[in-house]
Amino acid sequence: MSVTPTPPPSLWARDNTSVDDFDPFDANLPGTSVSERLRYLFLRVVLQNDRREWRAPDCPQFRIFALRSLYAAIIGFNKDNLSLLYPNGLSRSDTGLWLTKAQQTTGSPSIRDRCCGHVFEKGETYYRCKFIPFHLKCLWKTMLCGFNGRHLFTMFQHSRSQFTFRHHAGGKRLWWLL
Amino acid sequence: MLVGNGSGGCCDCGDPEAFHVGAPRCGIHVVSTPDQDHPPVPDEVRESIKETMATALDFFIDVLSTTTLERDEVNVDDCNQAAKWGQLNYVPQKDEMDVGDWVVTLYNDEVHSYNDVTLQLSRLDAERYGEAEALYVARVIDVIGREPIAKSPDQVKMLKAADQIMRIGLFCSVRSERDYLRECLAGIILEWLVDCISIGVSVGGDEMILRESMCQVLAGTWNMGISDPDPRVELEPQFVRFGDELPSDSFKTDWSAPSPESDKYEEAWNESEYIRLDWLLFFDARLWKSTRKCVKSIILGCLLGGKVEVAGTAVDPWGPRNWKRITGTTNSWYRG
Repeated sequence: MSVTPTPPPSLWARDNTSVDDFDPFDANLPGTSVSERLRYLFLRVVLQNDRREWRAPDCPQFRIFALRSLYAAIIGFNKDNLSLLYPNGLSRSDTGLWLTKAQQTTGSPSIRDRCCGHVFEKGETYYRCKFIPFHLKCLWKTMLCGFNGRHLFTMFQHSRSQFTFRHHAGGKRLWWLL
Repeated sequence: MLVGNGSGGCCDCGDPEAFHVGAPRCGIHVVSTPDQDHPPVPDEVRESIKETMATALDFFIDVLSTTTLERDEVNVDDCNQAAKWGQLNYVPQKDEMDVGDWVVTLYNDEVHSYNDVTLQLSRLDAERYGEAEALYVARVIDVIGREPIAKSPDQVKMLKAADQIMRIGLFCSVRSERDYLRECLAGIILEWLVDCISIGVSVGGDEMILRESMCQVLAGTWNMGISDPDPRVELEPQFVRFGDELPSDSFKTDWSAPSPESDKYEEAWNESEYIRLDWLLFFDARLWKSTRKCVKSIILGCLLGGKVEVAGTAVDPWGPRNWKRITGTTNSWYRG
Protein backbone atom coordinates (compact mmCIF):
# COMPACT_ATOMS: atom_id res chain seq x y z
CA MET A 1 0.00 0.00 0.00
CA SER A 2 1.41 3.36 -0.99
CA VAL A 3 2.02 5.98 1.69
CA THR A 4 0.46 9.43 1.32
CA PRO A 5 3.09 12.08 2.04
CA THR A 6 2.11 14.14 5.07
CA PRO A 7 3.85 17.32 6.21
CA PRO A 8 5.48 16.97 9.63
CA PRO A 9 4.58 19.55 12.29
CA SER A 10 6.30 22.88 11.75
CA LEU A 11 9.58 23.48 13.55
CA TRP A 12 8.30 26.94 14.42
CA ALA A 13 5.43 28.05 16.63
CA ARG A 14 2.17 28.93 14.95
CA ASP A 15 1.99 32.57 13.85
CA ASN A 16 -1.26 34.26 14.75
CA THR A 17 -0.46 37.67 13.31
CA SER A 18 -3.27 38.96 11.13
CA VAL A 19 -2.19 40.09 7.67
CA ASP A 20 -4.60 43.02 8.04
CA ASP A 21 -2.54 44.37 10.93
CA PHE A 22 0.38 45.08 8.64
CA ASP A 23 0.34 48.32 6.68
CA PRO A 24 3.56 48.92 4.69
CA PHE A 25 2.39 52.46 3.97
CA ASP A 26 2.31 53.39 7.64
CA ALA A 27 3.74 56.89 7.89
CA ASN A 28 5.25 56.07 11.29
CA LEU A 29 7.67 53.51 9.92
CA PRO A 30 11.24 54.35 10.94
CA GLY A 31 13.60 55.64 8.28
CA THR A 32 13.48 58.40 5.74
CA SER A 33 14.64 56.71 2.55
CA VAL A 34 13.10 53.77 0.71
CA SER A 35 16.07 51.53 1.54
CA GLU A 36 15.98 52.34 5.26
CA ARG A 37 12.28 51.58 5.47
CA LEU A 38 12.63 48.41 3.44
CA ARG A 39 15.45 47.14 5.64
CA TYR A 40 13.40 47.85 8.73
CA LEU A 41 10.45 45.93 7.28
CA PHE A 42 12.69 43.01 6.32
CA LEU A 43 14.33 42.66 9.69
CA ARG A 44 11.66 43.76 12.11
CA VAL A 45 8.37 42.87 10.43
CA VAL A 46 8.93 40.04 7.98
CA LEU A 47 11.44 38.08 10.05
CA GLN A 48 10.10 38.87 13.51
CA ASN A 49 6.69 39.41 15.02
CA ASP A 50 5.80 42.32 17.29
CA ARG A 51 7.12 40.37 20.31
CA ARG A 52 10.54 40.10 18.61
CA GLU A 53 10.10 36.36 18.15
CA TRP A 54 11.33 34.81 14.91
CA ARG A 55 8.50 34.33 12.46
CA ALA A 56 7.84 30.89 10.98
CA PRO A 57 9.14 30.81 7.38
CA ASP A 58 6.47 28.27 6.40
CA CYS A 59 3.55 30.47 7.46
CA PRO A 60 1.71 32.55 4.83
CA GLN A 61 2.37 35.76 6.75
CA PHE A 62 6.11 35.47 6.08
CA ARG A 63 5.65 35.54 2.31
CA ILE A 64 2.76 38.04 2.30
CA PHE A 65 4.61 40.55 4.48
CA ALA A 66 7.75 40.20 2.35
CA LEU A 67 5.88 40.77 -0.91
CA ARG A 68 3.83 43.65 0.47
CA SER A 69 7.00 45.32 1.72
CA LEU A 70 8.76 44.94 -1.61
CA TYR A 71 5.86 46.17 -3.71
CA ALA A 72 5.20 49.08 -1.36
CA ALA A 73 8.89 50.00 -1.62
CA ILE A 74 8.98 50.17 -5.43
CA ILE A 75 6.23 52.76 -5.42
CA GLY A 76 8.07 54.79 -2.81
CA PHE A 77 5.78 53.80 0.11
CA ASN A 78 3.23 56.15 -1.41
CA LYS A 79 -0.24 54.66 -1.36
CA ASP A 80 -1.37 56.99 -4.13
CA ASN A 81 0.91 55.11 -6.54
CA LEU A 82 -0.62 51.73 -5.73
CA SER A 83 -2.78 51.78 -8.84
CA LEU A 84 0.38 51.78 -10.97
CA LEU A 85 0.95 48.18 -9.86
CA TYR A 86 -2.46 46.97 -8.74
CA PRO A 87 -5.29 48.59 -10.71
CA ASN A 88 -7.73 46.53 -8.65
CA GLY A 89 -6.17 47.26 -5.28
CA LEU A 90 -3.85 45.32 -2.98
CA SER A 91 -4.70 41.66 -2.49
CA ARG A 92 -4.89 40.00 0.92
CA SER A 93 -3.72 36.68 -0.46
CA ASP A 94 -0.25 35.49 -1.30
CA THR A 95 -0.92 34.68 -4.96
CA GLY A 96 -2.79 37.92 -5.66
CA LEU A 97 0.28 39.94 -4.72
CA TRP A 98 2.40 38.66 -7.60
CA LEU A 99 2.24 41.15 -10.45
CA THR A 100 2.05 38.40 -13.05
CA LYS A 101 -1.23 37.32 -11.43
CA ALA A 102 -2.58 40.71 -10.40
CA GLN A 103 -2.10 42.37 -13.76
CA GLN A 104 -3.76 39.53 -15.65
CA THR A 105 -7.01 39.95 -13.79
CA THR A 106 -7.66 43.57 -14.59
CA GLY A 107 -10.03 42.89 -17.46
CA SER A 108 -7.30 42.92 -20.07
CA PRO A 109 -6.34 39.72 -21.86
CA SER A 110 -3.83 37.46 -20.18
CA ILE A 111 -0.19 37.18 -21.20
CA ARG A 112 -1.10 34.04 -23.08
CA ASP A 113 -3.52 36.15 -25.10
CA ARG A 114 -0.84 38.68 -25.80
CA CYS A 115 2.17 36.49 -26.54
CA CYS A 116 1.97 33.38 -28.67
CA GLY A 117 5.20 31.80 -27.38
CA HIS A 118 4.85 28.70 -29.54
CA VAL A 119 8.14 26.79 -29.41
CA PHE A 120 9.18 25.66 -32.85
CA GLU A 121 9.65 22.01 -33.52
CA LYS A 122 12.10 20.44 -35.87
CA GLY A 123 11.08 21.02 -39.45
CA GLU A 124 8.32 23.47 -38.62
CA THR A 125 7.88 26.41 -40.96
CA TYR A 126 8.22 29.86 -39.50
CA TYR A 127 7.88 33.33 -40.94
CA ARG A 128 9.91 36.48 -40.87
CA CYS A 129 8.80 39.89 -42.03
CA LYS A 130 10.88 42.80 -43.26
CA PHE A 131 8.63 45.17 -41.35
CA ILE A 132 9.73 43.63 -38.07
CA PRO A 133 13.41 43.09 -38.61
CA PHE A 134 15.06 42.52 -35.21
CA HIS A 135 13.93 41.25 -31.86
CA LEU A 136 15.20 43.59 -29.15
CA LYS A 137 15.62 40.71 -26.71
CA CYS A 138 17.55 38.31 -28.85
CA LEU A 139 19.54 40.29 -31.34
CA TRP A 140 18.12 38.21 -34.10
CA LYS A 141 15.12 38.44 -36.27
CA THR A 142 11.61 38.22 -35.00
CA MET A 143 10.01 34.92 -35.89
CA LEU A 144 6.36 34.11 -36.26
CA CYS A 145 4.73 30.71 -36.26
CA GLY A 146 2.79 29.49 -39.26
CA PHE A 147 -0.60 30.50 -37.93
CA ASN A 148 0.35 34.04 -36.95
CA GLY A 149 2.58 34.53 -39.97
CA ARG A 150 -0.16 33.56 -42.39
CA HIS A 151 -2.63 35.72 -40.51
CA LEU A 152 -0.34 38.73 -40.69
CA PHE A 153 0.33 38.04 -44.35
CA THR A 154 -3.32 38.03 -45.32
CA MET A 155 -4.30 40.82 -42.96
CA PHE A 156 -1.85 43.39 -44.24
CA GLN A 157 -1.58 42.25 -47.85
CA HIS A 158 2.17 41.90 -47.68
CA SER A 159 3.97 41.24 -50.87
CA ARG A 160 5.70 37.90 -51.03
CA SER A 161 9.11 39.53 -51.06
CA GLN A 162 8.52 40.99 -47.60
CA PHE A 163 8.19 37.56 -46.00
CA THR A 164 10.68 34.76 -45.78
CA PHE A 165 9.67 31.21 -44.94
CA ARG A 166 12.00 28.83 -43.18
CA HIS A 167 12.00 25.38 -41.74
CA HIS A 168 13.13 25.24 -38.16
CA ALA A 169 15.43 22.63 -36.70
CA GLY A 170 13.78 22.89 -33.28
CA GLY A 171 14.96 23.72 -29.77
CA LYS A 172 14.40 26.43 -27.22
CA ARG A 173 15.92 29.83 -27.49
CA LEU A 174 19.10 30.61 -25.59
CA TRP A 175 18.93 27.76 -23.07
CA TRP A 176 22.12 26.28 -24.43
CA LEU A 177 24.00 29.28 -23.08
CA LEU A 178 23.62 28.18 -19.46
CA MET B 1 12.59 27.76 -48.58
CA LEU B 2 15.45 27.23 -46.15
CA VAL B 3 16.08 24.96 -43.20
CA GLY B 4 17.07 26.76 -39.98
CA ASN B 5 20.28 25.89 -38.20
CA GLY B 6 18.61 24.85 -34.97
CA SER B 7 19.54 27.82 -32.87
CA GLY B 8 16.14 27.60 -31.27
CA GLY B 9 13.22 29.92 -30.98
CA CYS B 10 9.59 30.47 -30.33
CA CYS B 11 6.88 32.53 -31.95
CA ASP B 12 7.30 36.19 -31.04
CA CYS B 13 3.82 37.26 -32.03
CA GLY B 14 2.38 39.56 -29.40
CA ASP B 15 5.67 40.24 -27.63
CA PRO B 16 5.88 44.04 -27.51
CA GLU B 17 9.67 43.92 -27.59
CA ALA B 18 9.69 41.98 -30.83
CA PHE B 19 7.87 44.57 -32.90
CA HIS B 20 8.82 48.04 -33.96
CA VAL B 21 6.48 50.81 -32.94
CA GLY B 22 3.90 51.12 -35.68
CA ALA B 23 4.72 47.73 -37.20
CA PRO B 24 1.71 45.68 -38.29
CA ARG B 25 0.24 43.33 -35.69
CA CYS B 26 -1.62 40.16 -36.38
CA GLY B 27 -4.84 41.12 -34.61
CA ILE B 28 -4.87 37.98 -32.47
CA HIS B 29 -2.32 38.78 -29.80
CA VAL B 30 -2.45 42.54 -29.80
CA VAL B 31 -5.68 43.31 -28.01
CA SER B 32 -3.90 44.80 -25.04
CA THR B 33 -0.62 45.74 -26.64
CA PRO B 34 -1.27 48.55 -29.05
CA ASP B 35 1.31 51.29 -29.05
CA GLN B 36 -0.59 53.24 -26.48
CA ASP B 37 0.70 56.43 -24.98
CA HIS B 38 0.75 55.93 -21.24
CA PRO B 39 1.38 58.83 -18.91
CA PRO B 40 5.07 58.74 -17.99
CA VAL B 41 5.97 57.00 -14.76
CA PRO B 42 6.83 59.63 -12.13
CA ASP B 43 10.54 60.12 -11.54
CA GLU B 44 10.24 59.36 -7.84
CA VAL B 45 8.75 55.95 -8.69
CA ARG B 46 11.60 55.26 -11.12
CA GLU B 47 14.07 56.05 -8.36
CA SER B 48 12.13 53.95 -5.85
CA ILE B 49 12.20 50.96 -8.18
CA LYS B 50 15.97 51.17 -8.52
CA GLU B 51 16.53 51.76 -4.82
CA THR B 52 14.27 48.87 -3.86
CA MET B 53 15.89 46.44 -6.27
CA ALA B 54 19.37 47.54 -5.15
CA THR B 55 18.50 47.20 -1.45
CA ALA B 56 16.89 43.80 -1.96
CA LEU B 57 19.82 42.46 -4.01
CA ASP B 58 22.36 43.83 -1.54
CA PHE B 59 20.49 42.06 1.25
CA PHE B 60 20.54 38.86 -0.82
CA ILE B 61 24.31 39.07 -1.35
CA ASP B 62 24.93 39.94 2.32
CA VAL B 63 22.98 36.91 3.51
CA LEU B 64 24.31 34.40 0.99
CA SER B 65 27.91 35.49 1.58
CA THR B 66 28.02 33.68 4.88
CA THR B 67 26.38 30.44 3.79
CA THR B 68 27.99 27.12 4.61
CA LEU B 69 29.52 25.58 1.52
CA GLU B 70 31.38 22.44 2.56
CA ARG B 71 31.00 19.63 5.02
CA ASP B 72 34.22 20.69 6.73
CA GLU B 73 32.60 23.99 7.65
CA VAL B 74 29.86 22.33 9.71
CA ASN B 75 31.56 22.63 13.10
CA VAL B 76 31.19 24.78 16.20
CA ASP B 77 33.86 27.30 15.31
CA ASP B 78 32.78 27.90 11.73
CA CYS B 79 29.09 28.06 12.64
CA ASN B 80 29.73 30.66 15.32
CA GLN B 81 32.06 32.53 13.01
CA ALA B 82 29.41 32.57 10.26
CA ALA B 83 26.80 33.88 12.73
CA LYS B 84 29.15 36.68 13.71
CA TRP B 85 30.12 37.36 10.13
CA GLY B 86 26.45 37.54 9.17
CA GLN B 87 25.76 40.51 11.45
CA LEU B 88 24.40 43.34 9.35
CA ASN B 89 26.00 46.72 9.93
CA TYR B 90 22.84 48.74 9.31
CA VAL B 91 21.20 47.27 12.40
CA PRO B 92 22.11 48.12 16.00
CA GLN B 93 24.71 45.53 17.02
CA LYS B 94 22.83 44.58 20.18
CA ASP B 95 19.91 43.46 18.00
CA GLU B 96 22.22 41.26 15.94
CA MET B 97 23.40 39.34 18.99
CA ASP B 98 20.11 37.42 19.16
CA VAL B 99 20.65 34.63 16.65
CA GLY B 100 17.83 32.39 17.89
CA ASP B 101 18.03 28.61 17.69
CA TRP B 102 20.19 26.53 15.37
CA VAL B 103 18.60 25.05 12.26
CA VAL B 104 19.77 21.98 10.33
CA THR B 105 18.88 22.22 6.64
CA LEU B 106 19.16 19.24 4.32
CA TYR B 107 20.05 19.91 0.66
CA ASN B 108 19.30 17.79 -2.37
CA ASP B 109 21.93 16.25 -4.60
CA GLU B 110 22.08 14.19 -7.76
CA VAL B 111 23.27 11.02 -6.05
CA HIS B 112 20.96 10.02 -3.23
CA SER B 113 17.53 8.47 -3.55
CA TYR B 114 14.30 9.09 -1.67
CA ASN B 115 14.99 5.98 0.36
CA ASP B 116 18.36 7.32 1.49
CA VAL B 117 16.76 10.52 2.71
CA THR B 118 13.75 8.95 4.42
CA LEU B 119 15.98 6.42 6.17
CA GLN B 120 18.27 9.12 7.52
CA LEU B 121 15.34 11.24 8.65
CA SER B 122 13.73 8.38 10.53
CA ARG B 123 17.08 7.64 12.20
CA LEU B 124 17.36 11.29 13.15
CA ASP B 125 13.96 11.54 14.81
CA ALA B 126 11.69 8.52 14.46
CA GLU B 127 8.87 10.23 16.31
CA ARG B 128 8.76 13.28 14.05
CA TYR B 129 9.61 11.54 10.81
CA GLY B 130 7.28 8.62 10.29
CA GLU B 131 7.13 7.07 6.85
CA ALA B 132 4.63 9.60 5.49
CA GLU B 133 6.37 12.63 6.98
CA ALA B 134 9.83 11.54 5.82
CA LEU B 135 8.49 10.97 2.31
CA TYR B 136 6.92 14.45 2.31
CA VAL B 137 10.19 16.07 3.34
CA ALA B 138 12.14 14.06 0.74
CA ARG B 139 9.75 15.29 -1.94
CA VAL B 140 10.07 18.90 -0.83
CA ILE B 141 13.85 18.60 -0.92
CA ASP B 142 13.63 17.11 -4.41
CA VAL B 143 11.39 19.91 -5.69
CA ILE B 144 12.60 22.98 -3.78
CA GLY B 145 16.16 21.86 -3.19
CA ARG B 146 16.32 22.04 0.59
CA GLU B 147 14.25 21.82 3.77
CA PRO B 148 14.88 22.47 7.48
CA ILE B 149 14.81 19.14 9.29
CA ALA B 150 15.71 20.01 12.88
CA LYS B 151 15.80 23.08 15.10
CA SER B 152 17.06 23.49 18.64
CA PRO B 153 18.83 26.00 20.88
CA ASP B 154 21.43 23.27 21.53
CA GLN B 155 24.09 23.90 18.89
CA VAL B 156 26.11 20.76 19.69
CA LYS B 157 23.03 18.57 19.35
CA MET B 158 22.27 20.10 15.95
CA LEU B 159 25.83 19.61 14.77
CA LYS B 160 25.66 15.96 15.81
CA ALA B 161 22.38 15.57 13.94
CA ALA B 162 23.91 17.11 10.82
CA ASP B 163 26.97 14.89 11.14
CA GLN B 164 24.76 11.82 11.36
CA ILE B 165 22.89 12.82 8.20
CA MET B 166 26.11 13.60 6.33
CA ARG B 167 27.64 10.17 7.03
CA ILE B 168 26.16 8.80 3.81
CA GLY B 169 27.35 11.78 1.77
CA LEU B 170 24.30 14.02 2.00
CA PHE B 171 24.97 17.68 2.73
CA CYS B 172 23.46 19.65 5.62
CA SER B 173 24.05 23.17 6.80
CA VAL B 174 23.77 24.30 10.41
CA ARG B 175 22.90 27.97 10.57
CA SER B 176 21.48 30.24 13.19
CA GLU B 177 17.72 30.75 13.04
CA ARG B 178 18.34 34.41 12.24
CA ASP B 179 20.48 33.59 9.20
CA TYR B 180 18.26 30.72 8.03
CA LEU B 181 15.21 32.99 8.00
CA ARG B 182 17.18 35.64 6.16
CA GLU B 183 18.08 33.03 3.56
CA CYS B 184 14.37 32.21 3.19
CA LEU B 185 13.64 35.90 2.67
CA ALA B 186 16.47 36.08 0.13
CA GLY B 187 14.74 33.27 -1.78
CA ILE B 188 11.48 35.25 -1.83
CA ILE B 189 13.39 38.31 -3.05
CA LEU B 190 14.65 36.36 -6.06
CA GLU B 191 11.13 35.11 -6.83
CA TRP B 192 9.92 38.68 -6.56
CA LEU B 193 12.57 39.89 -9.00
CA VAL B 194 11.55 37.21 -11.50
CA ASP B 195 7.94 38.32 -11.08
CA CYS B 196 8.91 41.94 -11.73
CA ILE B 197 10.76 41.23 -14.97
CA SER B 198 8.19 38.84 -16.42
CA ILE B 199 6.72 39.68 -19.80
CA GLY B 200 3.55 41.69 -19.53
CA VAL B 201 4.24 43.12 -16.08
CA SER B 202 4.12 46.89 -16.17
CA VAL B 203 4.25 49.91 -13.91
CA GLY B 204 1.57 52.32 -15.00
CA GLY B 205 1.54 50.72 -18.46
CA ASP B 206 5.32 50.89 -18.95
CA GLU B 207 6.42 47.32 -19.57
CA MET B 208 10.15 48.03 -19.80
CA ILE B 209 10.83 50.06 -16.70
CA LEU B 210 11.24 47.14 -14.30
CA ARG B 211 13.53 45.23 -16.63
CA GLU B 212 15.61 48.28 -17.41
CA SER B 213 15.97 49.06 -13.72
CA MET B 214 16.92 45.44 -13.04
CA CYS B 215 19.70 45.61 -15.64
CA GLN B 216 21.05 48.80 -14.15
CA VAL B 217 20.94 47.45 -10.61
CA LEU B 218 22.67 44.20 -11.57
CA ALA B 219 25.39 46.21 -13.27
CA GLY B 220 25.92 48.30 -10.12
CA THR B 221 28.32 47.47 -7.31
CA TRP B 222 27.35 45.72 -4.10
CA ASN B 223 26.74 48.05 -1.17
CA MET B 224 28.11 45.66 1.46
CA GLY B 225 26.13 45.30 4.68
CA ILE B 226 28.40 42.74 6.39
CA SER B 227 31.91 43.10 7.76
CA ASP B 228 33.77 41.35 4.92
CA PRO B 229 33.02 39.90 1.48
CA ASP B 230 33.22 36.13 1.13
CA PRO B 231 36.90 35.19 0.83
CA ARG B 232 35.97 31.82 -0.60
CA VAL B 233 35.14 33.31 -3.99
CA GLU B 234 38.55 34.94 -4.35
CA LEU B 235 41.45 33.43 -6.19
CA GLU B 236 44.12 35.53 -4.52
CA PRO B 237 46.53 33.44 -2.39
CA GLN B 238 45.86 35.29 0.87
CA PHE B 239 42.19 34.32 0.74
CA VAL B 240 42.53 30.61 -0.01
CA ARG B 241 41.41 28.50 2.94
CA PHE B 242 41.62 24.92 4.10
CA GLY B 243 44.92 24.27 2.35
CA ASP B 244 43.47 24.45 -1.14
CA GLU B 245 45.92 24.34 -3.98
CA LEU B 246 46.62 27.74 -5.41
CA PRO B 247 45.47 28.36 -8.95
CA SER B 248 48.28 28.35 -11.44
CA ASP B 249 49.46 31.49 -13.17
CA SER B 250 48.19 30.22 -16.48
CA PHE B 251 44.71 29.88 -14.96
CA LYS B 252 44.81 33.51 -13.90
CA THR B 253 45.86 34.78 -17.29
CA ASP B 254 43.26 32.76 -19.18
CA TRP B 255 40.81 35.59 -18.78
CA SER B 256 42.58 37.93 -21.14
CA ALA B 257 40.47 36.99 -24.12
CA PRO B 258 40.12 39.29 -27.11
CA SER B 259 36.97 41.30 -27.33
CA PRO B 260 34.76 40.48 -30.30
CA GLU B 261 35.05 43.89 -31.88
CA SER B 262 38.81 44.30 -31.95
CA ASP B 263 42.14 42.72 -31.25
CA LYS B 264 42.42 44.53 -27.95
CA TYR B 265 42.59 42.40 -24.85
CA GLU B 266 40.19 42.88 -21.97
CA GLU B 267 41.66 44.47 -18.90
CA ALA B 268 42.82 42.25 -16.07
CA TRP B 269 40.18 41.31 -13.54
CA ASN B 270 39.88 43.85 -10.80
CA GLU B 271 38.18 42.92 -7.57
CA SER B 272 36.91 46.41 -6.98
CA GLU B 273 34.94 46.19 -10.19
CA TYR B 274 32.77 43.27 -9.13
CA ILE B 275 29.18 44.04 -9.90
CA ARG B 276 26.08 42.54 -8.27
CA LEU B 277 25.68 40.16 -11.19
CA ASP B 278 29.16 38.78 -10.52
CA TRP B 279 28.22 37.94 -6.95
CA LEU B 280 24.96 36.38 -8.07
CA LEU B 281 26.89 34.09 -10.40
CA PHE B 282 29.60 33.36 -7.85
CA PHE B 283 26.89 32.23 -5.44
CA ASP B 284 25.47 29.58 -7.73
CA ALA B 285 26.93 26.77 -5.64
CA ARG B 286 25.29 28.01 -2.44
CA LEU B 287 21.79 28.42 -3.87
CA TRP B 288 19.18 25.72 -3.89
CA LYS B 289 17.12 24.37 -6.76
CA SER B 290 14.28 26.91 -6.78
CA THR B 291 16.55 29.94 -6.35
CA ARG B 292 18.92 28.66 -9.02
CA LYS B 293 16.00 28.61 -11.44
CA CYS B 294 15.23 32.21 -10.47
CA VAL B 295 18.79 33.31 -11.22
CA LYS B 296 18.61 31.66 -14.64
CA SER B 297 15.32 33.39 -15.33
CA ILE B 298 16.78 36.75 -14.35
CA ILE B 299 19.82 36.31 -16.56
CA LEU B 300 17.86 35.06 -19.54
CA GLY B 301 14.92 37.39 -19.22
CA CYS B 302 16.77 40.51 -18.26
CA LEU B 303 20.42 40.49 -19.16
CA LEU B 304 21.08 38.25 -22.11
CA GLY B 305 17.78 39.28 -23.58
CA GLY B 306 17.66 42.80 -22.20
CA LYS B 307 18.45 46.02 -23.91
CA VAL B 308 22.21 46.17 -24.03
CA GLU B 309 22.48 49.92 -23.82
CA VAL B 310 20.60 49.99 -20.52
CA ALA B 311 23.24 48.31 -18.43
CA GLY B 312 26.14 50.03 -20.13
CA THR B 313 29.45 48.41 -20.82
CA ALA B 314 29.28 46.07 -17.83
CA VAL B 315 26.97 43.77 -19.76
CA ASP B 316 27.68 43.13 -23.40
CA PRO B 317 25.71 41.32 -26.08
CA TRP B 318 27.76 38.19 -25.50
CA GLY B 319 26.50 37.79 -21.97
CA PRO B 320 27.90 38.63 -18.58
CA ARG B 321 31.52 39.63 -18.82
CA ASN B 322 32.67 37.04 -16.37
CA TRP B 323 31.27 34.15 -18.37
CA LYS B 324 34.76 32.95 -19.17
CA ARG B 325 35.77 33.13 -15.55
CA ILE B 326 32.76 31.22 -14.33
CA THR B 327 33.03 28.39 -16.82
CA GLY B 328 36.80 28.30 -17.05
CA THR B 329 36.54 27.92 -20.80
CA THR B 330 37.13 29.99 -23.86
CA ASN B 331 34.34 29.98 -26.39
CA SER B 332 35.21 29.44 -30.00
CA TRP B 333 31.99 31.13 -31.08
CA TYR B 334 33.00 34.18 -29.09
CA ARG B 335 36.02 34.89 -31.24
CA GLY B 336 34.13 36.05 -34.33
